Amino acid sequence: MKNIHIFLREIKESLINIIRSGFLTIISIFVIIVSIYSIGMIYYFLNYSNEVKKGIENKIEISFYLSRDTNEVRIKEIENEIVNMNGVESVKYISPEVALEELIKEYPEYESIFKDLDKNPLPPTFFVKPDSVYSINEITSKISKITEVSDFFYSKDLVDKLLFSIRTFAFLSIIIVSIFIGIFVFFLGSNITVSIYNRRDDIEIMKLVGTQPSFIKRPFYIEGIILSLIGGTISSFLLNKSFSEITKLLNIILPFVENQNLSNQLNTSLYIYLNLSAIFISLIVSYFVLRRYLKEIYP
Amino acid sequence: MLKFVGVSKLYDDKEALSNISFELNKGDFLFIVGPSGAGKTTILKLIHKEIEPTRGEIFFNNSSLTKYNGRVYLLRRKISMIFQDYKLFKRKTVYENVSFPLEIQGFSPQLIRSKVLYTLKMVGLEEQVNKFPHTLSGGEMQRVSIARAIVNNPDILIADEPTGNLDWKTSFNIVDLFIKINENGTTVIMSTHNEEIIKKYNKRILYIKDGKKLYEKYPHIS
Repeated sequence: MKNIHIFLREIKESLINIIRSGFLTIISIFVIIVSIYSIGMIYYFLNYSNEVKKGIENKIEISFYLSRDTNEVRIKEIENEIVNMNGVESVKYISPEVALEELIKEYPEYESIFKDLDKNPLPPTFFVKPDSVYSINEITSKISKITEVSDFFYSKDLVDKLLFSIRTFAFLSIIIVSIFIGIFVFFLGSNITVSIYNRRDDIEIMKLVGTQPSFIKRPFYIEGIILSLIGGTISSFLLNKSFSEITKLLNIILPFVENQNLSNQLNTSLYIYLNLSAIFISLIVSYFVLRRYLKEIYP
Repeated sequence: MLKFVGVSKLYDDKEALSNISFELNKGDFLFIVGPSGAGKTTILKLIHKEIEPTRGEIFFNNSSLTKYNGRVYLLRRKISMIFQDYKLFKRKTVYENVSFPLEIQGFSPQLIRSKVLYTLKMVGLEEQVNKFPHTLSGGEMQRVSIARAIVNNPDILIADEPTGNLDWKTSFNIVDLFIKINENGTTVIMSTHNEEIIKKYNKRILYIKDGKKLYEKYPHIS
């Protein structure tokens, strides 16, 4: 029961300090909102870029031709070889005969020309679907080593640009998130430092009247948690609104990307993670700042 | 209850206190007297464990004060201190200042209220409960400080020049209050260089000068 009274007293002390800090409290909450919002948006776009990648992956195929004199046995061997390659999702073989039939179906007006040919000009063709854009280079490298392969095609420029964009975006995201976490840590740390400085006389008196160290420290931790929760809740609300609006806009601009439910998928878990992360960071920051500035009080 | 055994204290090779020994029993009243810089505050700070002795040992309730290393707050709940500059929480009311030592120990709000109001009545501040320190006179602020120190029923009350900033009349009122607290069973140690106070009250005196005990005088028994 005594501990409950002490805990309630510490919460009261924290709330009083938050109100008394006034402008500093507002600045801290603002910084927390901006930091969490930015991290949330970066997370959203990372997920979105992943969806873009998936959308493009679905459309990427490597096609390659074998020389016309390759026999059926060898064609089967090559097919097995490709099926067993790492990163290959599916392989489809089109024989010259089937390819010609499809060509005639596609261009029926030229049927007579195609049928008058002495020899089928179309080569045995394979269509390979990679499981990821990251597998393309490895697959094409292996395919190019097969002696019977005469030529192969895939959207190299598009894939390279896509890979570069995804990697650049991920790298920049890590840098931006780190910067925002740094700003968050700096402002929260400054807030606690200034609070300790403002309350140094009170802390000195507390020490002299027999206050246990935890009673002095815990209100600072509680204060950090409360500020993080206020900032986290406001930024979660803003993220929720932003996600649904941006998703609508992106669906119009990039209709091939399947992101209809992206904002819903992200909502609950992301908000919980962001709030918990903010609380965790505030506890760590509080711990180090208090350790640095209060160690002289109860050495 | 409290025992100094050959206690010395050095500050940067300068001896602030030299080989001091004395003993106090429960319910005693002691004036520590001496000129400024004699070492009076050093003795009180040693009792309150704000500083450590360089030599010798201090015992409280038959245990060395070293027992409270790392848990000094427990000692300060048994030995309360009153300061010349009051050391009140500026942003707390009189009631909040006095209730603070009870709140940090987790007493119920009802018990805190009854103890605080009783103590404030005892020091004559029952009308000032909701006032802030800056609206009070020096004497009233010292009474708040005393109320905060005794609300917790300490074993020992130590006061460092508590009348230093007060006029004669208020000073005597404050010492009268200490006498009343002492009569209720609390051991009181008060430092002062005010000769008038020492003459008026027939109490035990420990006179120190330049960090040394010059003499100890016991009250006349009539």
